[in-house]
Amino acid sequence: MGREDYKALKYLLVCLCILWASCVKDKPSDIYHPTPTNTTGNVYIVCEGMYGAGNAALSLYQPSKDCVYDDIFYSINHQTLGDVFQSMTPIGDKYFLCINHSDLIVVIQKSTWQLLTTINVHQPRYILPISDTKAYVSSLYSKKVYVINPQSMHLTDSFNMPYSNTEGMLLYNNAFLATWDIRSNILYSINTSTDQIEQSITLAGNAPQEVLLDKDNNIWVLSGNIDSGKRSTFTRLDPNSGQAFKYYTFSDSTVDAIKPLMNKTKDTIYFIEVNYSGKAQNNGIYRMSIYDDALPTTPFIAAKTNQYFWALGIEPKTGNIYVGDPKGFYQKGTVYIYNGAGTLQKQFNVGTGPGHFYFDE
Amino acid sequence: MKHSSTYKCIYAAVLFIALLCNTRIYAQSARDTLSEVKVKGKMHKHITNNDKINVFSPGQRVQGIDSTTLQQYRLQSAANLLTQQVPVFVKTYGFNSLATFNIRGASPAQSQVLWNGIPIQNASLGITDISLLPLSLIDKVSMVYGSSSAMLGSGNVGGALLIENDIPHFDSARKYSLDINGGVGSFGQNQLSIKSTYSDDRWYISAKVFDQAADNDFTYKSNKNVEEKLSNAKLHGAGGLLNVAYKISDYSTIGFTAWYQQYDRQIPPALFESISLKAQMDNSLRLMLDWQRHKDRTKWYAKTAFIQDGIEFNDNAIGILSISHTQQYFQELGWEWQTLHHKFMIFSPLQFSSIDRPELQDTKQQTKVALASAYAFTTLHEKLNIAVNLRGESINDLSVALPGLNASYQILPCILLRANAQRTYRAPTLNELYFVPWGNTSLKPEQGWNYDAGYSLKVKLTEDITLIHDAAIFDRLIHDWIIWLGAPILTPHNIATVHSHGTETESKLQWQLAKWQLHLGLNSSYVLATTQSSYITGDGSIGKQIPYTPHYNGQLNVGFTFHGLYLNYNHTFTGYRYVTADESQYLSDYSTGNVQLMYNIHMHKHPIRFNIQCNNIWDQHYQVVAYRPMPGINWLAGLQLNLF
Repeated sequence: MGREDYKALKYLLVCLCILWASCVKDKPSDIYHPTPTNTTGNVYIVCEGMYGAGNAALSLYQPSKDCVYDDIFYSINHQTLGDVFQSMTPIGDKYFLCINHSDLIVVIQKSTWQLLTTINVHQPRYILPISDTKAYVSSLYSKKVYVINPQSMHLTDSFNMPYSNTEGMLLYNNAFLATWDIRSNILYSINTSTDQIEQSITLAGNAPQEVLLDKDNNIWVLSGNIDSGKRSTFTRLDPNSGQAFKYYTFSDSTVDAIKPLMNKTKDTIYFIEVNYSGKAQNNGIYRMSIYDDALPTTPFIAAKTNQYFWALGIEPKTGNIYVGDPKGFYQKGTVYIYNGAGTLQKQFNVGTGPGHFYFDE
Repeated sequence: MKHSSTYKCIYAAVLFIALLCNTRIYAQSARDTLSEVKVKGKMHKHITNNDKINVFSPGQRVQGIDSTTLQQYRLQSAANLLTQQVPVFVKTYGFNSLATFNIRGASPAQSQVLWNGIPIQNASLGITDISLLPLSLIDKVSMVYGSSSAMLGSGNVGGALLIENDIPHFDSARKYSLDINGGVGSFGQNQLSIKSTYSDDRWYISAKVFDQAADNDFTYKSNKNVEEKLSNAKLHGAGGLLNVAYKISDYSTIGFTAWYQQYDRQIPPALFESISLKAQMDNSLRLMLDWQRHKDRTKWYAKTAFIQDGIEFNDNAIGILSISHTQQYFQELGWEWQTLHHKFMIFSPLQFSSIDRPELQDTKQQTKVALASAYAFTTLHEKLNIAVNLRGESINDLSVALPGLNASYQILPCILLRANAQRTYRAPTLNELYFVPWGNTSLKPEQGWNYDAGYSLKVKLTEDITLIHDAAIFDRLIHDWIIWLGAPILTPHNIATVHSHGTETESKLQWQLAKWQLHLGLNSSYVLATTQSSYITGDGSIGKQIPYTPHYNGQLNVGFTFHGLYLNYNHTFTGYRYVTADESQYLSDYSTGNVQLMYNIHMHKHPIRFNIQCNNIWDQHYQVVAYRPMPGINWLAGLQLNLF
């Protein structure tokens, strides 16, 4: 080895030392999942997760302790929920969690959150409790509505709807089912004893997706599918006569109105408008009286540029408004709590893709 | 090995020993029958056929795969080769499943795959599934690190994978060759490939065909820690490549190459899915016509190519059928002029891409037209090489100038320093712009600057021991980084400024010990790719590593050649990968050990090569992508027969 080779090796060592010093540790900090203790007034946040990443989570906020738990299902049961957590329904002493892309309904104990069982259902979306022993389960990409027995926690039956993607469901004497299919503009009234269609009510818009009941016992149906160019529309109808008597069509075809809900007194409807292009207009939380003649034009709570909301809830006791920001579904979502006047009270991070809120009564 | 500190220690020890090792071993002149192992990553001209890299990118880091290593992977895809031999992160969704590569923290759409100089990324998606690049059809593989936009075009942000076929050679006497290569392996793998060439003083004809099938039904541990067999994972692929070249005169040749292949793959369920009835059919037709005339100091060339890709995805569980057809037309005219010290090149590529949108019954196009020139200057007794490159490119209604400057300097006979600075630019792909329904036509191009520098070193520690070492440091800042995010359907947005920087090393110790030739190699990469700023309110990704970019990645190769026997132990390490942008979810690091054995004999003057590879010999359970299991120990054995 010549003198120049030694010189070269010296340079090499110096370079390697510099490189070495610049490295950072590879091991991430451990993710801590504390175990909560149950209390009253729990606020559950259904976190869908990022589609295909299997990181759905059930987050919990306990206002009385001001504590947030990212994923109580994991911390209690030491297993993950699955992919795309769509909804959570309390029935009796259990919660039924629909894990859409995992084809599962996960049943947990209400008081302990411990896993009781899972029910295999194809692409479950929402559950409508009919009685102690019967509940309907809607299914994505399918005309089928599944029937489960919440007590035995078994799949018991199914029946077909005329269109696929049953989405919104409401129990008011009969069950009113909306099929989120762009060819459909019908709300179906189902006899819950026979599971047969008794009445078909024509709506103002195609692709009905949400069904609500107001204080006058009129039904509100939100229709629309922005992907397929079906404009968002509210139809207000009388379930007894089956007549639609009022409708509200959104003027902008690029606006997606989603996840409407009634306040506690059922005289005001709240909903989210989403502008997927990232612009601030037509983007935020809107509200209107059930007696208004037109849709609101300004947001009650405005979303910022490159932000949109994906979850909306009203805490029954306080009237506080909970809003979920998924922040792109590729990181932890943020929950904002506003008072009834729309003033921000608090914010905190939860699991990925907060999509719905459920409040312990 | 879980902790980086352990790796650091091992890495340091290996280097230290390599540097201090001064044991005198007596040389032995005998050679085995395997192809000589060529030096990787030093001299461009030994690595690629591409003059843009060889001549006009002296400061660019390029890593070539030597012929012996390539021979080991002849029955496998480029994804397996890169995973085990190149310090880039290969994001694979499972065994024989979709795989893309992440180089220096760049997304798959920010890196190019060039086949004989032609970009072959899917015209719509802007990415290449490297699991669909069968090495039985490819003769040369190399990796260009860092941007080379001025020479290779916009879209080259992270780097480029170069796959090439042999340059046609014309012989005064007629020559034939016929190689048959067959293999079987775990999980119902079987493959047959045939290669035949003919050459005379005017014609060169090379034909390669392959057929590949696998059940991929390996056993894995489910989420409930129960052993299950992977379902719906079958694969079948077949294809061929024909290359015909004609020598028009002593100075000019014309050639035609056609490559067609089709893969039918079932897509197995992820661990969170109860069942999968998904399947995908990929087919590609690539046609290329090229002409070149090389006389004295000048070279003219012209090439034109047509590429058609089809993807048909169906999910019978939910009744979805998605069909995508894309077409690309590429042409390039170029002129090169060289003297001893000055080299000049001017070329004009044109790329026209289109995608059919059956949902809207229309077609969307993207046209890239460019004029590029490069000047390389050699001085100081050929120690200093400087290249100045400039490209003006128009992409539909966008125009951009892409300058580049790079140089190398032989500071000592055994040390070469190099540096490279390039402007980087990537226009949104057709898919990002026009995907139905949520393409974003208001997307801005990603742009920034890339800088890298490094050195190559080759030292003869003793008469018998040679140390080859290459190291690079890089820094890149990209604005308006495009990310697919949101729900219910992902939508692309310009969302962030991403800063990537880090280091790469490539080291090899060769020891000639009597009839034994021992080798010890270590590749490593260290990548920090973090979001610097974001347009998202309250974005938790600021300062965090971008998803699926491991900080550390590396491979160790140790083995020997003895007569016709070649044995290599390969150990790959991939560090932690974050699944989410705010580092709230991650996948553990993993290591796999792989043993490769090759033995050459001659039977009645016909060379026969036995080849066996045992992968993941420590039977590690790991996931490259979350909830997509990878197989445990598995093997693949092959036999290559050279009939003529």
